[in-house]
Amino acid sequence: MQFFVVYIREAHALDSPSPLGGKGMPIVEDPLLLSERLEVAKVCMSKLALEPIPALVDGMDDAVNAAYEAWPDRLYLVGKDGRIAFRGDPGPAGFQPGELEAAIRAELGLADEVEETTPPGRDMY
Amino acid sequence: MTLPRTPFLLAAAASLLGMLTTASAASPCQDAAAEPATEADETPAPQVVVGETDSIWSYLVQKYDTDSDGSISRAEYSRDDATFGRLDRNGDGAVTAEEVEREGGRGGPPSSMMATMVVMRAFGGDAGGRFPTGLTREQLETGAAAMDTDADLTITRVEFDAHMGRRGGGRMPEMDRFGMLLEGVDTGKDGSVSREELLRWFDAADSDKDGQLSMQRRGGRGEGREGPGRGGPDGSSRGARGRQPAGAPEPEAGVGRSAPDFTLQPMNEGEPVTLSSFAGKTPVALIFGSYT
Repeated sequence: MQFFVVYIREAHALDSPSPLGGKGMPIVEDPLLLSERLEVAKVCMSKLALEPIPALVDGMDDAVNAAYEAWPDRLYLVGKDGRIAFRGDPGPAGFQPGELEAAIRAELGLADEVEETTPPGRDMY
Repeated sequence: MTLPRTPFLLAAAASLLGMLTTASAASPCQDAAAEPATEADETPAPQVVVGETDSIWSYLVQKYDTDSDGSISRAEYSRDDATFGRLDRNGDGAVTAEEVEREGGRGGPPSSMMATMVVMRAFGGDAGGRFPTGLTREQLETGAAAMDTDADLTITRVEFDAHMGRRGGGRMPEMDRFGMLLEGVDTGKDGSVSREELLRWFDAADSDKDGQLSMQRRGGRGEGREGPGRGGPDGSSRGARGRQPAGAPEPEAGVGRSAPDFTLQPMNEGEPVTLSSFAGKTPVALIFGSYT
């Protein structure tokens, strides 16, 4: 089972149509260069304690973002056969890790979890 | 109303992955500092573009306002014309606090959007622990009454933190959620939020006057303050497997289709990764997102 975070264009850069930031929320200027996006990705992965997951960084042409209609955030599972096995709805409302988990279990032939442990949907901002 | 995406949805994935990474082929993060990618036709030098100041404006001032005159001129701003043009909303050649903090963007001032995120999280419908997707006026009234434990019609930081503590702190403990609420809702500027201020704020945000605010994403661009209710980007009924409504163009990355291939640079040192290299070997979970 392979996991990747695919780091894409900022959803709420301070110079974007819908800026967010301050009061403990990170402030990001929209990267213009891949190297800038790389550095933001590193800060993000570190601050959110996600470093165990390998991260890939979308090119500044946002091509992968476009192909997967990924913005602002989204979950996918590509099956072992190379086909899309699960395509989550766009975030934030559609970003539901429990759904990805269920899809992974189905793909791997694992039994369903009987009880939910921590509700992952709560554990955001 | 349409909510901005949360920056911290990546954090939600970690709760899933805590279980499954032991089974995954994920390799630990390399600690090497990566060299910036050299790009042949890159004119500007890479800059630090992420910060944690108390406000967007204070971040900009600290970075750019070299003559400390309270505004940022084009000469002081060391990034590109197009971005400066977006920040300089009135086109007078200077970026000011008012343009950045009060006018914000299409979604309104940052403070307003952030207050909305906080209210949703604090009072929004708890659909089995999933992320709140809506908030009715009644939920807000009931929730605010529950939060106001001394029943004095105001919500203090202490009451707010106690309530949020019961709901779960989330992965960003340094977020000053009460501070965000104050910025957006505390019209009296007295450091607490009255239940009346909350309801007035709700009514102002509820632009279609249907007694509820809903999270709705339209077309992937996150514009507009109110959506047509629950559902997919075009208002269709939501399918957990991303079913498209009849007549919609088949998405490139639709269920059952061959996953669009890509080759991307890893965040840390290493060879570029090609998605199709995993076909026939292992499934691949993709978590798309960004920090903000």
